[in-house]
Amino acid sequence: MKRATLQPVDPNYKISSRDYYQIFTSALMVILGTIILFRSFAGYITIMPLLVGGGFLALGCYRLNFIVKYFREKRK
Amino acid sequence: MASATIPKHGKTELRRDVSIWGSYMWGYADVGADIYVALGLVMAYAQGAASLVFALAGTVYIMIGLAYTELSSAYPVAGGGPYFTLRGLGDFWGFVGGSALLLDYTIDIALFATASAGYLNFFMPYIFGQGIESFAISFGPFHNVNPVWCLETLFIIGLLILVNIKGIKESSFLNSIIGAVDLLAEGSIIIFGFLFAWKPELLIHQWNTQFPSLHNFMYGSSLAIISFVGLESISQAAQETKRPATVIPRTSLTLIFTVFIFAVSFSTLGLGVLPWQVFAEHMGDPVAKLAHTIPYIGLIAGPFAAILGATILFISSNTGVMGASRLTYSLSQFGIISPWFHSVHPKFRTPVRTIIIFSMIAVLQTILSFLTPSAMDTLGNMYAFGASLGYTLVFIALIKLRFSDPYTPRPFKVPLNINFKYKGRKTSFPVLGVIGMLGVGTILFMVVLTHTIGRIAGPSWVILCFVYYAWYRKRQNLPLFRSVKHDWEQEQINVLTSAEEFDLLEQYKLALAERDKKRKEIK
Repeated sequence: MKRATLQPVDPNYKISSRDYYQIFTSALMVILGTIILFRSFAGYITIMPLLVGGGFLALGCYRLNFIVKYFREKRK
Repeated sequence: MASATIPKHGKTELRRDVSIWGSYMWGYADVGADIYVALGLVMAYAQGAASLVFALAGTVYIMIGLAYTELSSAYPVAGGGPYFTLRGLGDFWGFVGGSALLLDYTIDIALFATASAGYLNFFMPYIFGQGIESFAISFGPFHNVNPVWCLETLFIIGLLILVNIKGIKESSFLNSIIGAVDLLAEGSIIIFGFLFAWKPELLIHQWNTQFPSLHNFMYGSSLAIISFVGLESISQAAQETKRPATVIPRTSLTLIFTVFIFAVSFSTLGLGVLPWQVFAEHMGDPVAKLAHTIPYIGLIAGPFAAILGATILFISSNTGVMGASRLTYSLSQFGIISPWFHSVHPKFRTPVRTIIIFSMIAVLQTILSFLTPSAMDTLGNMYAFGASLGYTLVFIALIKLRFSDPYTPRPFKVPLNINFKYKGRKTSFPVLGVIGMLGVGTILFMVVLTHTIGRIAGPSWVILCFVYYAWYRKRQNLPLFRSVKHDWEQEQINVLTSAEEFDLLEQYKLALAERDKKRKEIK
């Protein structure tokens, strides 16, 4: 899988252990971001938890986007 | 330009064998350690707004990082900030940037050795039954002086001097292992911390009721820049990386954002787990204190973070010793300081003079700072001055080089540019460079405004270095404020050739040929 750059996805690329690590950390970011946001919304809202939670969620989704793209290309 | 030339010295090249992961970890072992020091210091002043302060300083840091990425991939040499300043603004400003960085390297030795000892002191209550603070004494005009902590720090610096004189090969593999373990540990603290210990209501309470005064907010913001210092390692890695134009933008961008995420996450987590006063009390080992508080893993995570903190800070302190040697070598090659500094020991083949001189300056700084009520705060004070001055000059050099050296290919450019024609050539003006310059200039202004020690000691150091610079340049019959004639074009060709960046080399030569052709046509 290509790294998170703006290059086109190469369907012939084989997933390495590093990519699996990146998939794992990206999924973890999405989970962590969601939990931080959910817990922040439960009380009074301030900017920093929203930034941190939102940041994790956005970064995780951004990275996962490349993984999804890769599998879509491969299926074609 | 003066017609005088600098003395020629035999140049020795550093071997280029650092991989992508090695290059990333090199930077991470240096910059990633900063949060271990900065968390307690910044919390003590920024209080309930610590996470905001980290985010603001971090935003400026991202812009500095982008500037370093552009310059390091365009000029992949180990000189770092002072080299960019020298190329962009000339010898005198290169010297000013060099003196600021030398100040930072000496403080780096003292501050990180102090912090490394601080993390070892985490175990003191468990071994001796009392914490390090119980050894503090007061005598005469000096209060809260801690001789035990000071001696521990001096012992660490002594060890670093010995190890460096004897010559150790800083193992890129060892750096990678420690960096990876640290990455994993910091990640685990954040994940477990947010899942099991973080109380958003505590963070909100501290934000609402303990927001700092304007003075403390500015002081905290200027100290927060400490958590992002060490970007010089990007350019040092560039010198030893094969195909740096391809590798450096990737690794340094990942490094910049990892460090930013960790700094903002740690402070947000910290304020939601413990009151800021606890971090202020544990200025020596804030990350270990935070890790120790986390349920389920705290019992192991606390001591583990303390050992890891002590180790990674020791390595960071060593970076100061090595960085000072590299910098003096680079400066002496361009006639800024005497080549006397980089003479090597006949037996160990190490730059013994720079190691001893700059380590002894660090010893002096350590002793003097321990005579103040908070050694860490005093050292941090001066660190912030050197860093913000050096970074301001790098931004100015970045903007200047876009105009004065448009021919060097830039594999990465700071985003947000305005393109226009300047002297018949396409030029792009870096808007983000100007914003970054204003940001770091503001931090420098805040340092001068709020740091009582930094605003005196920092400029005094630069003036002291200037006295030496003036003496040396006069002795060598070199101009003081003007620049010596450097053959930058040949230098760039040599650098790109040794870096095996043949595509860029071709682009560069083509651009120069096109320029020469245009010049002939005009004539």
